[in-house]
Amino acid sequence: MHSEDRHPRAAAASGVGVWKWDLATGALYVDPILKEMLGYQDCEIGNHLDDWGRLVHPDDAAAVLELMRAHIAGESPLYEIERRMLHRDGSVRWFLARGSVRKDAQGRPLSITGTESDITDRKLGEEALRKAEEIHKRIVDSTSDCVKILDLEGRILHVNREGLNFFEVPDISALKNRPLAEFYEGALRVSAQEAIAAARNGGSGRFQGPARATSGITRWWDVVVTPITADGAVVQLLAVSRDITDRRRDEALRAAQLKMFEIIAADGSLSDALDHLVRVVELYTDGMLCSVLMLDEDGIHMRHGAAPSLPEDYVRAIDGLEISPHCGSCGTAMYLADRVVVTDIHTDPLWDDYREVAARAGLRACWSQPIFSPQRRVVGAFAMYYGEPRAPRDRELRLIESAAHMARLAIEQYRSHQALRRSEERNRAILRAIPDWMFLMTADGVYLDYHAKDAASLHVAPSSFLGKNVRDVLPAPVAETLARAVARATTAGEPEKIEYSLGSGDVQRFYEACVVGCDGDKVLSVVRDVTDRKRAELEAGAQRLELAHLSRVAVLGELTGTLAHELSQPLTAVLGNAQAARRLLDRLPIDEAEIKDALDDVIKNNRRAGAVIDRLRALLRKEDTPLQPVNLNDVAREVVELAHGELLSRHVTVTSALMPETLVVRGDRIQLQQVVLNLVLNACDAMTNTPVAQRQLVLATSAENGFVELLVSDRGVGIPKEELEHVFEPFVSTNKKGLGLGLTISRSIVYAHEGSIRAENNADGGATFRCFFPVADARVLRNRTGAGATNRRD
Amino acid sequence: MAVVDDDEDVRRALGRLLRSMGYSVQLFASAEDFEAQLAAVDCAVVDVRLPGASGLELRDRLRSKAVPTPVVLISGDPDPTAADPVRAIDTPSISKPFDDFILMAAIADAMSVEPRVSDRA
Repeated sequence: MHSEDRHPRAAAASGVGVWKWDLATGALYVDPILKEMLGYQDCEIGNHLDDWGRLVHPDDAAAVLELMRAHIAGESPLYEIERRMLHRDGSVRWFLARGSVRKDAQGRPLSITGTESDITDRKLGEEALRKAEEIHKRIVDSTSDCVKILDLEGRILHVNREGLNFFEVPDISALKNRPLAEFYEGALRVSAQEAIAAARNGGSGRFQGPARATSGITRWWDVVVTPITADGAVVQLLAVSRDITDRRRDEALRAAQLKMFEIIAADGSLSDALDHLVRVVELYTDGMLCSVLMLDEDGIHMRHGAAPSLPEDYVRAIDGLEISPHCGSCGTAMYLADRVVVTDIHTDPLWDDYREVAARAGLRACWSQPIFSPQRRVVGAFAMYYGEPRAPRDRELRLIESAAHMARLAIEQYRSHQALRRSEERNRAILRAIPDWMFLMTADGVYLDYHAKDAASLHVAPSSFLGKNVRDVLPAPVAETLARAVARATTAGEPEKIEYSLGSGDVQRFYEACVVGCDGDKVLSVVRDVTDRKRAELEAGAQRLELAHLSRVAVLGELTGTLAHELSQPLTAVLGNAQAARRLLDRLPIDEAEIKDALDDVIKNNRRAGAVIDRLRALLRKEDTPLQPVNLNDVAREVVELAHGELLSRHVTVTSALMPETLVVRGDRIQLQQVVLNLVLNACDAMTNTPVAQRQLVLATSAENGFVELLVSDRGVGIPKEELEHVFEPFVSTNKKGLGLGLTISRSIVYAHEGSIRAENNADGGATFRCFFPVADARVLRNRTGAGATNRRD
Repeated sequence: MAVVDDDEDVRRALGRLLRSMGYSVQLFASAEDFEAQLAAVDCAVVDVRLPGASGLELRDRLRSKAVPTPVVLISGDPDPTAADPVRAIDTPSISKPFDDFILMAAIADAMSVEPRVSDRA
């Protein structure tokens, strides 16, 4: 037994096998324990180098031989390699081989003895760790955050790829060991130091603020510092910085948008609003100056929009230029309706004409984005300037697009606000111009708002009705009328007109209201003071009475002969009877019966004469009488009596076709008589040239549908077609005797009785005048309905 | 004696008056009535304004007969002959109201004048 065999079990248990290679004989001894570690019995593998060599992983064989050679040649003090062996079950096992050569006195190598340790578990662990680290690294590098590993003093040890990109350095060397806090200034540096201290103490720290990169660009960071621990101790610090520049800028732009709308809503100028936008964009982009140019309505000239940071001389030079395909960046962008990027004004041909003015203003690069209207019409351009030649990066292109879009929104807002304001001004002007009052009310009749050209004209304080219901504000009858109109206006959707009057102090005032639905559930009541008109109407009414009186006097004048005749008849009868009686008394025997009859006739005819005088007196009366129930048939009969003489002298035959029922209308008997008399005399006039035998006049009454009709029909010349419509107008008379007012007066009287009057030509010659009056006595209607509503005339 | 007047009261009063004077009297409401009765009268008191044929027309017709009937025209109008000034010139006419003696004078005038008219005709 060789000495190497002394502790075989112990070697197996420790996972270590022994081998010996005799270089002189080539004999190889392999510890059975080593063979067992590879799944073989001792006898299954021969003690030949070739047999053993087959168990080495083919990928490692060359390295093994090389190391062995180098060691035997004396080039390395130790043969040592971690390499793979093939297990009998097909798996790969890792072994650490260590060996050394024994040499004779002459330095010739005799043999190599070595050990093999199974390190498979360790190797697999290392592999897993390496892979995990690879994944971590990839995660860290792929994050858009800037990840830094710091030592406990806050100095930079490692920066991920994004971090290197931001610092614009190719590798860590320029950053290594620089304190993180150095990148921040002022109070922010203190915050950074505090965050680092917190992480060092096992907590975490956070701070936000701008940091300037080596390239000079400032960006905003949200930095979180946390500890890296090993075995419970803080060994390093992890600083994760998130770039919140874009987020902050977007927030600022959103805020700027709102601010612009506020400026516009407060009637600020468009320039003020755009100035604000430009300042915000500039604030978040280092070294960039912005401007907004507007395109004139004519589509040709550029107008200054906003350029708070550009030199005034430059702004003035640009203002009013004509756009063209070679007019700097903005003029060209507006002309082409496309973005124009000029990276160097010194060399770009677009700036040939404006190079010097740009140079004086210190401008070298200019990118311009056109601003479009919703109809895709160019309305302006948003420009970004730099003091040095520069091409935009993606995020800058996105920014200029956003800025142009925001400028567009502001311009649209401004224009619609202007349009609204103009329309409001127009409305206000209209409201100022019209004398009406307007009241906005709920459908329940609660006053919400009002408009009055002159608040004093309301006669009451607004506080006395705003928020209150009409029923609590206006007298009950008026409130009811108004409430009903409101209800109808909201349900029917049609404007409702009402009239009412209200006492104001000692004065009664008249109002006309038009109530319309609005805003869905509200109503607008437009109220007009019509007191003056009403008074004028009343005065006109008084004038009408006066005129009617004059007309009656005129009619009387026309009737003088007739009236003399009317009076002469009873007087003749009185005188005749009286003188007859006187003579009879002288004759014997006295015929008492005849004398008595004569005296009776005296009395009768005296009364008859008195009645004529009464009628005369009534016609001459001037004052207005209260409306009373009048039987229209009586009126017709009285007129026929009154005009009897006139009709006789004109050879006009009257056919009366009066309804047997009492036709009661409310009115003034004398005025109604005048109407009928006028119509009768008018008919007589029309028949002046009609053959005597045909001088027929029909006077008829009837009742239907709640109206009483009175018609006067003649067989005269009729009314010329073109005059039919004007026949009731003043002085449209073919009758040379009259004032030409007869029909006018008649119509105004009929209207005053809430009636109507119309004229028409008969099919067989002559004309018919029809008057309609509302029935005052409903019994007439009922009777007619009960009788079958025939239109019988007796 | 005949009275032609459409007004019943006037007709009756004149009838009564003429009777009190001793005439026998017939009353008619219109010229047509009068002519229909073919009344033989010494004199007719005729109202100028009558329905149908007027008093003047009746006077003309009576005058044109073989034996003309004397006519007295009475009228409610102030000037009864205004409507027919020429032809009424020889006919006595009186305005209502009138005294009994005016009527008597007119009748007498008419009855004395008529033959002259006949002669002339």
